[in-house]
Amino acid sequence: MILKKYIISLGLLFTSKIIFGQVLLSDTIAIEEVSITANRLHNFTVGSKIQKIESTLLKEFQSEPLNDVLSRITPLNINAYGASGLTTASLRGTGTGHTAILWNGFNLQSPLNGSIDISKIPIDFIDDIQVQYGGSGSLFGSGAIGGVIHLNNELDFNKGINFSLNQSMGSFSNYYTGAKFNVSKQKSVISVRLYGHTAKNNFKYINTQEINDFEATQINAGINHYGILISNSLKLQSNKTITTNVWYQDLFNEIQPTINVNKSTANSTDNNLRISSIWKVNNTKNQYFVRIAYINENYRYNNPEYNIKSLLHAKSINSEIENRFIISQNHQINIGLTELYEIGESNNYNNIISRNRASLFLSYKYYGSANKLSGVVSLRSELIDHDFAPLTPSIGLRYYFFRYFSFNSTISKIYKLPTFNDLYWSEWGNPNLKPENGWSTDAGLNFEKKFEHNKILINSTLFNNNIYNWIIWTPSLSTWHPENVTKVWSRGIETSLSYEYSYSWGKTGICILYSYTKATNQNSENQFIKEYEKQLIYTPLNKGNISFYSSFHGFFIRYTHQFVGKRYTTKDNSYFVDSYHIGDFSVGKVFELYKNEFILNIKINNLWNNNYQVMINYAMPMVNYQISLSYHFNKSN
Amino acid sequence: MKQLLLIKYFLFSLTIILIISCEEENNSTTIKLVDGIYITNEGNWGQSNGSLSYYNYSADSVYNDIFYAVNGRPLGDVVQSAAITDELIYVVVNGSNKIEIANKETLEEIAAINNLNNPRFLKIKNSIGYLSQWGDNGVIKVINLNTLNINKTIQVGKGPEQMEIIGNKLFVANSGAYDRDSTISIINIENNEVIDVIKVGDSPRDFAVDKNKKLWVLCYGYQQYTEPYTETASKLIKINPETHVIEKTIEIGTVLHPMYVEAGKNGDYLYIGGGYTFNGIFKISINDEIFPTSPFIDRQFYSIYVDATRDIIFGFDALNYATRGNMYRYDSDGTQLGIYEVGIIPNGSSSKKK
Repeated sequence: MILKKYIISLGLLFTSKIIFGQVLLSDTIAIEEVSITANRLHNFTVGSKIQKIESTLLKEFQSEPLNDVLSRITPLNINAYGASGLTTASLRGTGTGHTAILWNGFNLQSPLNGSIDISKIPIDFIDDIQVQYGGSGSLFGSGAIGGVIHLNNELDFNKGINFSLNQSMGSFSNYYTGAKFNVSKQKSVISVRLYGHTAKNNFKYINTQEINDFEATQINAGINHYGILISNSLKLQSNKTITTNVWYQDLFNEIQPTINVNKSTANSTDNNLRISSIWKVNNTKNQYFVRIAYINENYRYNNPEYNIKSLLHAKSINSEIENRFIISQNHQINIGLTELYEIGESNNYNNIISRNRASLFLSYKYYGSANKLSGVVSLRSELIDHDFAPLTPSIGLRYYFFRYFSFNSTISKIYKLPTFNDLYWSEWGNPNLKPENGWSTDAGLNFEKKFEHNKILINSTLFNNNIYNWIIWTPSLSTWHPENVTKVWSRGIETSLSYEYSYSWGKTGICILYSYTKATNQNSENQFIKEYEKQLIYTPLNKGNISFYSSFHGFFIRYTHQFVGKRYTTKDNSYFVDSYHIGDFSVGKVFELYKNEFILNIKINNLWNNNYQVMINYAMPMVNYQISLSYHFNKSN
Repeated sequence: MKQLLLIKYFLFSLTIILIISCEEENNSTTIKLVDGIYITNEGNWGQSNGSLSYYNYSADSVYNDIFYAVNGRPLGDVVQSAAITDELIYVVVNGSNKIEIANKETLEEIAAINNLNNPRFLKIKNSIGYLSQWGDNGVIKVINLNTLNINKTIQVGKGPEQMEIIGNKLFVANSGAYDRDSTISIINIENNEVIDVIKVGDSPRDFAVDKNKKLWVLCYGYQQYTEPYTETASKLIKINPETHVIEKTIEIGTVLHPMYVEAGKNGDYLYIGGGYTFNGIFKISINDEIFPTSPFIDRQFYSIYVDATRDIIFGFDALNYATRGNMYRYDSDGTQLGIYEVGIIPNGSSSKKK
């Protein structure tokens, strides 16, 4: 019964034309019934807490990079080196390389440095974003330690011709132009998306570090981003589809200097080509998937003042076969084999580096009759060149009780391979590094109740991660070397509360998220004694978000408020960067005219005009404005 | 009923979180900065956590982050060195390209000289400051400390580092910065003209003056980390400041690279030590001809300082460069008197001879 309710409510949400949504703490069981994207996320992550960013919200943020939406409505710890610098996401007190970012199931973390800059991913290129909390090494492999961010492209058949154009402009010469063209027929879909995003980011901020506070203007923080994504899906037979995505980006970033230098001409250029292709056979009792991805990423850093040029070039080919079959009404099996070949090239290495990784993964899922209890047991074995990574098991379960309640829990082994920089950096790298590894556990209690026009969702999740062999660079003799020395214990609680009231002409809701994360260094050896039991750097103990939204007769408003507690900047917690609050406000109106739809959206970012820093000494914009107009045209078949 | 209980649980957990989340704040105390030495702590590059600490002899304790405590703002990025006059302290903040000026005893901010270009050390005589700067291809900025105007910019060698004034001459150690240099520039401070350039060992860094008013220069040696790998010996060289003639050269070692030389009480002995990975503090008599084989104090320090008036030796250990460092204090026999926690990457003290 409960399941049905979920399905109905989710179905309503997906098809809703109302522009507004909220954070939906979706239930995985429910999702598998309505969505059949080719991803283990939907079937074998039972017990994991998964936050789906609602598609209508993505529409609202379509002219922003990924970090903008994640920082507003998730507990992800987003660290940005200013307005144009490297922006990374991490979860539950783990490091920047510890949250895997999967695009259509393929990990985008660079094999060279283990991270990915999420400010270089335009939301307009993603159709579905889901944040999976907690480790899941057995399902998603290396890097899935604190959590996984799933970015998926989804194409629907038989939707007719869709065209949309979006133009936005804002403070500091911020211009975004996006266009999307879809032709969706009975048996084929083609979609082309283009975007260009340029900004000068010559914003003003208050420098409070000098003898007299003064207003300064940021320099060298501009961006020029262009990209194209072509997606195509063909229905070969009623049960066979092949979907291909080709994503190319050309990105230029000026690299924002710190406020005490505030002079620089350093910049970077990215040329990224990412191709993914998925062939899917969907029978009643089983499903087959064959996936292939090719990723070619070129990053060039140039600092003319110091005459520093560096090049990072990563190429990878990933192929995967997966078979999911239903044994009986209550039992499902998933088995897959993935083969990943990575090549890294850099002026910091003596040779071109390559690495071959092959993994076998297996999951068994049980779901009880009446859908009260479900559980998954998974196992992954990975062979890296000639060495096996530690065997990676996991268990997850979910149990519904007292009508409105559910309990979910996971225990997962986690690991992350050393990066090419760690292993092969000329003279300094350490080829003997072992993978970082550990255990991730969590347990959550959920309450969900719907009555008349009301919907209440409450979640409270406790988590605990122990990570061993964490790689850090330490001084030894006359150079620095990376070593497997750090032990980290991160634990905490995430709580969320959302309430929504829907009525015939709109809806109103509020969502509150709070997370407490204690992540400490547990190595008590003499060399690290000053860091022992100290909070990891740039990991706030407290983080909270509140969003309020309302829509009525085509009008919509939203206010989001973020609080990020103080973050230590040194390992012994002797220095920190202050906590900050940011409020963002937006208001808009949807105009419909026959088959045409216009949406006007006005945003006021950093409404309270706070002078804040995310990373120490990197200025962030104070109050700023953005106006966007988008046009959508739909003609059904 | 059970549902109610669970709802209560949620509310309870929320309350607990709110209680936990109240972050504590610490307060500063007022301290009088006399009867001790200032310690400069570089801090991590780009992070503005460079700081000043103060060691007080009578209390036998160190006060950290005192500039922040007094002025409510960080000192800046990479605190390189400090120079002290009767009333004031001048702190050279390398990464922030500035000199901060504060009251010597209260550390209350007074003024700042901004827009410098990679400043390193400041030497003061008669209200004139001589600032060595790596920027602009290596210069000495002559600053009128009453008006804070820059009177003159004197081109010297690459990477001018520490300086010494003897009579009317300013000796400048041209360390080479990121490149190679092995000269000392000698400037007549009456007309601020370079009057001589003498060749010493590779990468001269620091000076000391002995009891005979002879100038000793510590040459770090040259290291090139890229192909072709090169490493030259560090040397201690004695110079006659009148004639500019080298009177003695003591080779320290090809693979040993100390950064600091300090004269002891009365100027009979010199202490050599400190520097990235250099082990030990060595004590050498000004009459010795060869460098001692074993250290006087066997411990690795990032920098050293000798309070010559009290004959107390300080060693600063930067540990792993990521946390607060430690200060070790020794008497003239090398007996350890205490260990103290200081700031991040302590690089010495410049409450030197005025």
